[in-house]
Amino acid sequence: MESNQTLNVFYAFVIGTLALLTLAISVVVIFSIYRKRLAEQQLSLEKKESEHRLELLKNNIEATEAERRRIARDLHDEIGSQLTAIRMMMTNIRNTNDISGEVDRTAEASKKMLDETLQSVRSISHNLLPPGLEKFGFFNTLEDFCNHLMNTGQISIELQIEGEILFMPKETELALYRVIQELFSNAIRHGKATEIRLKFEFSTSQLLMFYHDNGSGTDMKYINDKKGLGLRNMEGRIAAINGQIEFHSIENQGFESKINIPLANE
Amino acid sequence: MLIWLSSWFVIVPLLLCAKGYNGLTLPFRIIFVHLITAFAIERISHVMMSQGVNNMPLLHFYTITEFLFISTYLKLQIENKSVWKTITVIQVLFVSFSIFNSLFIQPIYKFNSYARSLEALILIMLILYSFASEIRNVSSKNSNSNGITWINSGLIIYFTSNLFLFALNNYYDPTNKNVYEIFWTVHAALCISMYSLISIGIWKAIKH
Repeated sequence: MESNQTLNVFYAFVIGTLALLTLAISVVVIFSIYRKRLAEQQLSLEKKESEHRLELLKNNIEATEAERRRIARDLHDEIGSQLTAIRMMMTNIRNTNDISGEVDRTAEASKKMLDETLQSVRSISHNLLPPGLEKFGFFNTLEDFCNHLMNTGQISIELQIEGEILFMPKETELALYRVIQELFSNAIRHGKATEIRLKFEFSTSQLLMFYHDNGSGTDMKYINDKKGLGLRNMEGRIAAINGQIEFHSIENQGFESKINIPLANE
Repeated sequence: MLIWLSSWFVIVPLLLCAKGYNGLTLPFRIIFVHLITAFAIERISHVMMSQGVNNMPLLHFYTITEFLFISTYLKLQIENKSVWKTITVIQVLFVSFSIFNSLFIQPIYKFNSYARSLEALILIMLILYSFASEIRNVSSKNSNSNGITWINSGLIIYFTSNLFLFALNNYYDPTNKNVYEIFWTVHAALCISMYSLISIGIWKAIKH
């Protein structure tokens, strides 16, 4: 009798345990497969969203550049030529007979102011649309820009290029140029830097750019937590050309940036 | 042999936890404390057994600690705070029932099959709920199975498969050594598989 009961319990135990073990393993396997599938769907959705954001960013940058070109052209062609005409008229005023010399002096002062305004218009126009980028290429234009800044006597810039210069698409050149403009502007305006080192390293598939200045720098917490518009713009421009940008700074010890841009072999 | 191995196998996840303790989050640390308790009780029960002393009171105590640690570990995985309150109520009710069971229904020198079975049932429900909650919050960032999933898989396989063992324990003839051996060999195999999956989970958590 007892032996029968033990046997029944034993069979119940074996069958029950096996059934439940199979059930538990099935639950775990189904859960894992379902979870993996869901995660993959999520990943694909996030990828699409990221591509869409990048597309929007590119369109935004293109629209900004088009608007900059239009303003630069208007400044140069219309305001610039009108100011030149006014300047010529001022020269004529100076040539008329003026006994007291008052008109002459006023005309001379006005001409000087006009010259300064013309210079400002040219400078704004050049900043809006780097004039030589398409004509003379990226590095010549950059060198020009550096010389222009060094001529102010406030800053010294060391430009270094390693490796064979490879072809860069127009949008890459423009993005890089804009980022360098922003870095220089930050170094001079906010960092009060007196020295800048800019190094380009070309390899077969990528361009690495290292930037360093001796300005006041900034707290990394600020860079990581609440990036200013300038830093975000730089990130956006580099992301739009599928590159990566990193910032590094220690307060009162300068500012560094590293840019990595993939280049297609042509 | 398998029974002996299972009594020592808990050392594997225990050492992994100790090695990567600083990098472990709270749920894993709770599992670590549970493993320490399990190991200590296992050793004490072996000493008692070798001295010829009935070690069943330890199992009654272990059932409560095991339930509290694992249910708290599972509770921490659930984001919904109202579910937390429900789990806390379940914990209080289970501990009360276990004490009542040990005092009045299944004395401390007998196997506490009611408390063990109820514990397994509640923990299975909680693990299933935690699986469902994980599915709701799945994201691309945790696309690879994380440590928690491995540990939960180990726990659900162990408690589900042992349900019959816990429930039927008082119905077999204790003098029949063969059946006894088979019962506890199966339990040992399930224990080893649970600790193996827990070890993988902890290893993944440390690596992450």
